[in-house]
Amino acid sequence: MRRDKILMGYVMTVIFLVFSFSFSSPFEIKDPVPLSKLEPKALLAKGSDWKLAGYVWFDPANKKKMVHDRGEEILYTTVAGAAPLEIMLNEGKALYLEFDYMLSAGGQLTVDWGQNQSLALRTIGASAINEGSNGTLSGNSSYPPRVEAGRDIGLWQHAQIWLSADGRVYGVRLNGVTVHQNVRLKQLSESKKWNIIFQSQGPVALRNLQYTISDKSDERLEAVFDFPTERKIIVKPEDDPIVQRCFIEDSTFKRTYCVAVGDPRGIHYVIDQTQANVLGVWKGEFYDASTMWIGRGPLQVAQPLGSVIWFDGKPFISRLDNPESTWPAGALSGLSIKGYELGKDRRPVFQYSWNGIGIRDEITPGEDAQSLERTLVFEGVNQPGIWLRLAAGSEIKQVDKRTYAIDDMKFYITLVLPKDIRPTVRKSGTLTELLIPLHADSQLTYTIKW
Amino acid sequence: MKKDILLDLFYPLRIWLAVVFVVNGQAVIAQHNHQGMGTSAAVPVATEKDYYRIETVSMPENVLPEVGGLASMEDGSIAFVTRRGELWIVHNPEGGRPYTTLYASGLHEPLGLHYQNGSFYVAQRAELTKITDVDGDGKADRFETITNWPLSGNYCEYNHGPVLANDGNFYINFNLADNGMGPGREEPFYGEMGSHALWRGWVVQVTPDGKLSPYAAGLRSPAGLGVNAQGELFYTENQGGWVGTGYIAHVEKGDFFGHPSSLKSAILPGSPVHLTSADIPKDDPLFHDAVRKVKGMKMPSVRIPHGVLGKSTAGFVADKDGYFGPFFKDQLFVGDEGMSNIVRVAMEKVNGAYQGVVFPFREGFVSGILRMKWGAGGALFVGMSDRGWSSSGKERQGLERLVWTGKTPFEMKTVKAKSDGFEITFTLPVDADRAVNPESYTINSFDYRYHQQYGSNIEDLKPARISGIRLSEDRLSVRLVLDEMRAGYIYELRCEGLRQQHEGAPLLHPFGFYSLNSVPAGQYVDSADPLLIPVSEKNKAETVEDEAQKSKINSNTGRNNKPVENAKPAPAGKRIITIPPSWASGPDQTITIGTLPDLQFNIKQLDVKPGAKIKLVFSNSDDMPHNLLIVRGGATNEIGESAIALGLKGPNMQYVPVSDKVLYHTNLLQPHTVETIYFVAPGKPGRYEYLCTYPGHYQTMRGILNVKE
Repeated sequence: MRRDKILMGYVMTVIFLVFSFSFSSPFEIKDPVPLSKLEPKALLAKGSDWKLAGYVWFDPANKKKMVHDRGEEILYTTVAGAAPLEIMLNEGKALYLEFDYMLSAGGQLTVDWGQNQSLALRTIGASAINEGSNGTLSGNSSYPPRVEAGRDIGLWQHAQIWLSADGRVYGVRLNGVTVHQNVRLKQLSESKKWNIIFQSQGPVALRNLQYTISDKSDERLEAVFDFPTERKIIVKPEDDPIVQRCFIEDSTFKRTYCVAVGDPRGIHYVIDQTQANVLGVWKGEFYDASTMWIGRGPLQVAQPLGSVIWFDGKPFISRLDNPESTWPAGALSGLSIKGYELGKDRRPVFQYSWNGIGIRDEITPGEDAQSLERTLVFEGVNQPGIWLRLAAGSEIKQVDKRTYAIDDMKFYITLVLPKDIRPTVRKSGTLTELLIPLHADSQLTYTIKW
Repeated sequence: MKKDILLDLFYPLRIWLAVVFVVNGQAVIAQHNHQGMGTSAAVPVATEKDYYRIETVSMPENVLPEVGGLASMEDGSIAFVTRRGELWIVHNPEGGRPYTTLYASGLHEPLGLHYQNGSFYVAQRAELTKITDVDGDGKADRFETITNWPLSGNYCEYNHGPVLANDGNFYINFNLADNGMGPGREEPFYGEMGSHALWRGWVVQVTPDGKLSPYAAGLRSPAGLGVNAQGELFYTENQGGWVGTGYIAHVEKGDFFGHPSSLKSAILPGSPVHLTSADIPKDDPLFHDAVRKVKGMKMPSVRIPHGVLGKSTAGFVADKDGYFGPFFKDQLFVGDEGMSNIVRVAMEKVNGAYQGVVFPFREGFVSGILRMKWGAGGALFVGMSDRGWSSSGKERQGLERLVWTGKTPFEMKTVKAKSDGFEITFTLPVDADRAVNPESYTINSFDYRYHQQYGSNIEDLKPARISGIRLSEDRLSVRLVLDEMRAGYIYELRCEGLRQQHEGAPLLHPFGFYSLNSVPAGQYVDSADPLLIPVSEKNKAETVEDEAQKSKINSNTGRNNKPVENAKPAPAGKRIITIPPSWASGPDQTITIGTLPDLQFNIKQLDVKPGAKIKLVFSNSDDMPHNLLIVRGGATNEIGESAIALGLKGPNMQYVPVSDKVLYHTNLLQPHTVETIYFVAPGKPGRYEYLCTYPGHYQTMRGILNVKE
């Protein structure tokens, strides 16, 4: 035990010495294009079916339940058959438009830019990708997206659309995933006055509308819609899940004790074993191994594909002197990584020992393959003041009895806890954290849904 | 029969082998006929494949055998792990149609595999793992972490192993990272490879219950780890900064092998090495002098001259069972990732430490050799993967078998050091007239430098004079008495004049290199021995003259066949590094060209005007040395091959062959350095070419220079 502590102590020291210089993250866009912001208030005509709010939420489980609060940042409508929201812009050859959107159960938002050209933003479907899928383009014909990149009902999503007046779509990117590149919808003249119509079916919300109109090609925009990885070796789980040890470069640094787990049903996660924690989750394509297995592989990272939700990579378990103590940031001290076993379905169960406490960690896809269920078993809990940190973000909203929307409605955590355990939502600096105390040996299950 | 057909598929290899061996053989015969010594007419020239046959292990199309580790199982199966993290089992591996099953996947770049009591052990990037199939369905389901270790995440932080030594512990080699030097990098003193995590550049020991402790330091790129016939631990090293040439070394606790980056961890508790970078000489000493100066620094057992017998020394095996013939029993067979060859090493213990000789053994494998393992039936399984380092074998990966045909090759079996010379033993009796003629032998000694620079020139080269020869009565050994024994030097021993008794065939490989780390005491030849034939000084002079003659005759006879000569630098007019005074208005065109990883120039095509004044800035941003030669159109392959053929002379000549086809060139540039040359573009429009001639690079590191209006 002591030996493990010492070794992991070295791990810490060395990692932090080495990463005093920063690796650039391959997942971020550099040098953003200067954009003009559209003020929600200015877009509303009198008597419009669309309203302003500061907070909106649509319940995935209950179609009728929707929450809104006063404010002016968000445009939303709950009116069935609401009149479209029309936005008149300047003339030019190309329009780049981006915005956040939130859908309700069964809701749909269509972005229409005239001459029967449109993009349909729908709730995520469990079925195979087809013309009814989220992200389908329409013109002379219908063009389904390359992959499903959507997120769950009631979560904020991000759309980026780059359009040409001549009837081409340069690109469509949903939640950071390019789903269309250079699709010709129509043969049209080269310049036009841009008129964007947002059409809703069921309750929807919009915010952070920004755009730019240009007459020449912009390399920065091309880079936005280009794939961020080489895509020469794409690893795809086909029969069994894939359990791949790898390096992962998140926004913090290159992590060297990671295991990426890909499921044939298209829902994946990666853990950082030194934190006994989930580092990121995503759906769609699994990961790109080009930088690992081609040539010498100098970059040497597994690059998750799809719209990854990165957690902040801090330890899952810690002892706190008091409930207000800051959560530790570095690698988990006193941890011994024990490895993993593959069960009947060939999914891994990870094992750890942390300061005498045995941890068994099993993560499985939910039945609809739209969520991950994490079940933890703790044995030998031997001291007070031990806490588990389930999530952290800019803000955490409890949206129902058991569900929390994390980090400005980015994903949900749903908890089923024994009666005597109460979760704590606490502010710590700029972060809000969801913690639960660990008093005794126990089993705990929670769901990550997005 | 079938196997020969398989071999014939490797057409380019066949041609290459023919060039190297057939031409050499004929050249040797011609030379001796010229000297009037020859008695036999031309004999059929035997080649390596007559004795050791390379066979392909047939495999399904979906299996990519980028082999990083090999293990043999009790049922005779061979298991291998791949770069992509798969563990495959080849059942009936020595049969014509083996079948392959997937046992485990998702491992992180395993570079070793050990099988014991129903479990596999692999060193992954971050941990040593025990892998077991608990439910017996043929697929692993338990992956236990035995121990883990720190990493910075650099791709070069390879872990070679685990190897189980005769003390019951596992050993793993921790490769250095490649980012050690250059702009923005820390501590340039250490060289191009750095230690950015605990115990990087060390051999570590792991007890069966998972206790990891540092064992030996000073490693750079230690791609092979294994045991000799006695179960003692050895490792192999790759040439680079502080390592003038690759080698195989005996590893004992507390050893320091020379690369100073590893010393960053030596200050920590538990370190058995007590040196700091302040102990490292900075005056570019000869390697053996550095070993004398630095307390605790160890001489490698056998050094393997770079560019001649190896480029990237990797895995090795001991032939305990005499599978390659009883004559080579207990010798070591060392693979090379760059030259796709296996060399043979015979060691002896002199004054308590291992030293010995290395010979060529077998060339022509399909890719870069990383690992080898004996099959139950005596075939040697050879696992390959070139990983962007461009091996001589043109495939990117492969698994082959090497099988002894049962014939005895005419070879030097071993060489032993004596107080006053060497004793060479042979696998078959030698022709007596030849054996006692001093002109049958050429002996030189040399060393490399110990410095931060990548690699080293051949230094302090000195021909040795034979003062006596004693042929044993059974004609299986020759005792050569030398005027001088230079301890710490490498001895090149060439026996090109020797012939097999009766058959008259030359040695299959007429040369070897003995690392004379230490000279044994009290082993002098008996001057009264009637079999001892003294060689007079006068004969020496003749020998030198003859050598000069031989060199002339032998020029252009292919690689490695010539004795080492003091190399002459290439003519200066082809490399002008200051702007010519006549270029008053400066160059007409400035070209900046650099390197990419994976042995490439960053520009594949250049356009210049006929007769234009060109300033060419070559920036080597890679972690290996490179040069740039501008050559006539179509000459790239020829010049690339002639650079390799320079053998031991290569480093001193910047690997620039003397040829009219070489128009201009830079020197060999160290990693992260820049050189500017000035030249006038050819007046005749057309296609010219450029390449790097560092051994093994020209196949991929090349481009086209278009001269046009």
